[in-house]
Amino acid sequence: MELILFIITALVALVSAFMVITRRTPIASVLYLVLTFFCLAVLYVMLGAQFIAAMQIVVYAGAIMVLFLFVLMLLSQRGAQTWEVAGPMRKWLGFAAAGGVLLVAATALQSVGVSDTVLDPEIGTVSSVGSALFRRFLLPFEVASVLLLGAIIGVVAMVKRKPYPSETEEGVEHGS
Amino acid sequence: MNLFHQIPLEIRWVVYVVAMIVFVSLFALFAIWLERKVAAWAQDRMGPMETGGFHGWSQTIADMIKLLLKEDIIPDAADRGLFKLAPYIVFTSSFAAFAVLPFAANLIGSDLNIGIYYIVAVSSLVVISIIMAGWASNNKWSLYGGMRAASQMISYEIPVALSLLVPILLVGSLSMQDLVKVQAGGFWNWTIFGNALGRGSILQLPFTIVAFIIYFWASLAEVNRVPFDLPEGESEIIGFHVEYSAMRFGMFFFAEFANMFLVSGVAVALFLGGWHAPFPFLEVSAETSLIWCNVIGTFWFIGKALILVFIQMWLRWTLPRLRVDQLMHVCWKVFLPFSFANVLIVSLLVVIS
Amino acid sequence: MTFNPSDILTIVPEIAVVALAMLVILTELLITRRETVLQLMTVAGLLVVMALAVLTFDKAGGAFNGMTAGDGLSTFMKALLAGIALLAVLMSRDYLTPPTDAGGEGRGVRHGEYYGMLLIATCGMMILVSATDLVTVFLGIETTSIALYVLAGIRSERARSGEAALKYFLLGAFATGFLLYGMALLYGATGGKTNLTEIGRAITDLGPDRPVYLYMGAGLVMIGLMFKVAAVPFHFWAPDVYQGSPTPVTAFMSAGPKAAALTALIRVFAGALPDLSAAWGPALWVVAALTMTLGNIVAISQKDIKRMLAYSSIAHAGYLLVGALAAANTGTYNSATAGIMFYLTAYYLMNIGAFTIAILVSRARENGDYQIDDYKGMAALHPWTSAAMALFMISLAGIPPTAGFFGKLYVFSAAVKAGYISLVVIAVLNSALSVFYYLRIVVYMYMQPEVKPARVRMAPAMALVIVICALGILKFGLLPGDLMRWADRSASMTVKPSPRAAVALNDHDQ
Repeated sequence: MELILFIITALVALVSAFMVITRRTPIASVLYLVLTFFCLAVLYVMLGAQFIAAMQIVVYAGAIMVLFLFVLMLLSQRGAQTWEVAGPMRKWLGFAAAGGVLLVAATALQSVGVSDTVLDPEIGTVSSVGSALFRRFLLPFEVASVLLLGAIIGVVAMVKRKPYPSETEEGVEHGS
Repeated sequence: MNLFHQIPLEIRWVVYVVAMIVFVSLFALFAIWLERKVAAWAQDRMGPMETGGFHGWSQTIADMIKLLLKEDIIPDAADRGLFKLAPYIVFTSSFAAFAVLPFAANLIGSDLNIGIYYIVAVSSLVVISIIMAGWASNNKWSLYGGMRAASQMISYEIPVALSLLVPILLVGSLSMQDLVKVQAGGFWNWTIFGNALGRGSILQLPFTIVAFIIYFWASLAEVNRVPFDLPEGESEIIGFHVEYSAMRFGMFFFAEFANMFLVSGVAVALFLGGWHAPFPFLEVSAETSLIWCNVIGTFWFIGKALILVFIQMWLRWTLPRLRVDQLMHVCWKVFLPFSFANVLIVSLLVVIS
Repeated sequence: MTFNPSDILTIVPEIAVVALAMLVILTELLITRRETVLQLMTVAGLLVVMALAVLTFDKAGGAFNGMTAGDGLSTFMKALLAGIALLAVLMSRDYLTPPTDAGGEGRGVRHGEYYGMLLIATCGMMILVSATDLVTVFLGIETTSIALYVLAGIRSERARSGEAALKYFLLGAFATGFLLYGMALLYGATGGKTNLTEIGRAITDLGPDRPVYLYMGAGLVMIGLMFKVAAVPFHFWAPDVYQGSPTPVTAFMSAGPKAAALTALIRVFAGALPDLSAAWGPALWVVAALTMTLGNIVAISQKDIKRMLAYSSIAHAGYLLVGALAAANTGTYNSATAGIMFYLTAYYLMNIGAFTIAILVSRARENGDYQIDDYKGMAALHPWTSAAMALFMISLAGIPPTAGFFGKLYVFSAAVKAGYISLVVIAVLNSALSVFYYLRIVVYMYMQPEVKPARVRMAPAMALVIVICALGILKFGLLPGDLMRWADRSASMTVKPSPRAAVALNDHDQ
């Protein structure tokens, strides 16, 4: 049962990942990427990492991909937007780069081999993730919050055109 | 009970899923009728009276048959695949959340240890399908509608999640059943009244009430109900599903009503005692009779959820709609700071006690 | 594995910087006479941060489960970074609020947000210099980079600024990808270790049969860090970004992130991967030689002073990489690291000084550009400013008796001791080459007839920056002993490159 589920999920993940790079419309690529992430979440659940799975859906499928879709839709409507790879040279360069990455990953995985150690069933629960986050990785966790704060302030600082708002009327500010 | 356990797990799942689909469908039929009746009540008219005899009870069934028989139009320029797919994804993502809704002490699809977080996760997928629907229609108005809906739902996810954190913090678990179980023993023990694990309830009282209010209001926006119904705005503004017709349009409606029940159910489970009765003597304990315990529990859970659904409808026919900038203003400048402060104070209280 | 409250002492400077950033941003919302108050606040706050950094000097060893170290190196660098931010803030206000009759330079920037981003970048660099774990290295780099992307593009009304931000962002994101992939491979190759000393230990335990992807990981991490240092061949972003960014940001960028990334480089390569030095040593050698040569040769042909200083900063990165190479050698670790610290201090003073004068001269121009020709005959009108500029140029060229000379001296002598004699010969030849373009500005100022009279209006804060830089260069050029002793002491109190020795310092159960 579990094996069948795994094979189906893995196949869907692989096929949709392939579709991501072969679709001509960016929106379709993004939607296939959502599907890939969803399948990854299912694989996480099967590894016992439920929290990570939910995180995967909330963060990637629910937030980052929506942002992608948003930007793509803001840029233009359908029709005009297709990926254009300039020249066969670049296409082959892309293939070479992807092949290189695959090679590195393959060598890395090959030497690791199959581990027969049994995973701690608690590994993906909220409490184990939480205690890792707030004990061992306490400082990185806090630094990440500074990073995000900086990003938020930065976006506002860059987007805001007027140095100081002259008209503070709500409607005007929101409308622009 | 032993008999129940002898049934293979897979079959139990299938039965539960089918039961849930039947329940959600029946609820949607009932809720659409109720909505009309509430609208009529608010506007001092009678509402549907003819179909089926008693107070037009079968009006929705007639409407559904009409929708099923109507011509299904797909615009020429639409992206056919996505256009067809979108309504089902909307419904699937809201239906998936029903898997962890605790109807009674033993009546729950799966008591995941991340239950409530799972609900937040799958309902965030609704946004994608709405964008999909708006974009695939290839109509600039439905695209705008989709964008508006997406920005609204993304924004309101944050206060929703933050206010859900308050009961989670007090109970210390994400499992839906754990969150319900601590509220046993009368309505004064419900989380909305600040009691969780018997900890200093009076101190927590104001914060849990604020959390509930923020959750309820923000969840209205999550499911696109008035006063936050800009994404749909059936009557005046053009929404993301303007190009949809027949049963595909019906699916969006179906999903909306499923979502209404879902957010009410979450509110009931987390804040209003879940399947616990308001007074202890109205409950049947599992030792006395397992069947009756679950039946009575389901009754209370659905009853409380229906009251919240009724309030949502009531609000719809009472309040005017917000403008889009006011909508964002309320979310980012009112709900968000309040819910942050709320979470901060409650976590401090949890640490202190 | 548990949280130890005294660990907080090691990150007091970081906490103070972030608190200051938030305070400045919030204050901007509340007060009316914003610019001066905000600047004074930031300056005062940074002085406190510097003091805090120095006060936490004695706390050696790791903290937060080996995530960060409050050792001598990080303390010295934290004080230095606070100093860099301090001078950048001092020169910013007058740049951002131009005289009414000048071109519209710098309008449309909220000062509070600007200072806030500067401080967050400083915080990121402080995390980076004290990072002893791959996770903190990565987060430090990202915090710094994101703040710098914003700072580069903060003057969104200018196309150049936007271009700089976009280029920096795209290439930076790419480099981050390399860095992360390399870290992932290191993590896998060492059996799930992220702590630098533990990685070093794990590699030693692996013995001679190391997996190939360990080398790949080290190489990718190196590429990522090289990008941040702007070393050839990963320097392409630097000139455009330096030219397009607001000039105080350029000054900040050319001194701060370079120092921080270099420290991280030393910590990662000398600290965690000394066993692999046979592989990355020659690579670093080539990169260092290429970086200084290319930087110097291209700098000669530049017409724009910001671009010239950008290429000069690439060249200086090359000199510093020579030091980093020497630091990987256990025998010369102390002297090389101390030399780098001295060099960075000197470089920061002379570079910020030069950029300040560049701002002043450009403000005197109606079109506000940065042509080197503008310096012709400046000495007759502004003898003091010209003298200071000459001093900065002489120091950048590394001519005694300036701090720049001693910086190079310490770094190169450590490299000679470590056995990199041919590399040092290349470096010295390069220094000779660089004299050409640095002294050209001096020649323009003193020996050329005036073309367009540049009436420089001195602002008090600018004058202060110039005086601080000039005095610092002279002080460390004539009496380098104090700073060198401090740098030496800091270097000797660092988590050492030998993994075996560091185990005792930084041991904790996994």
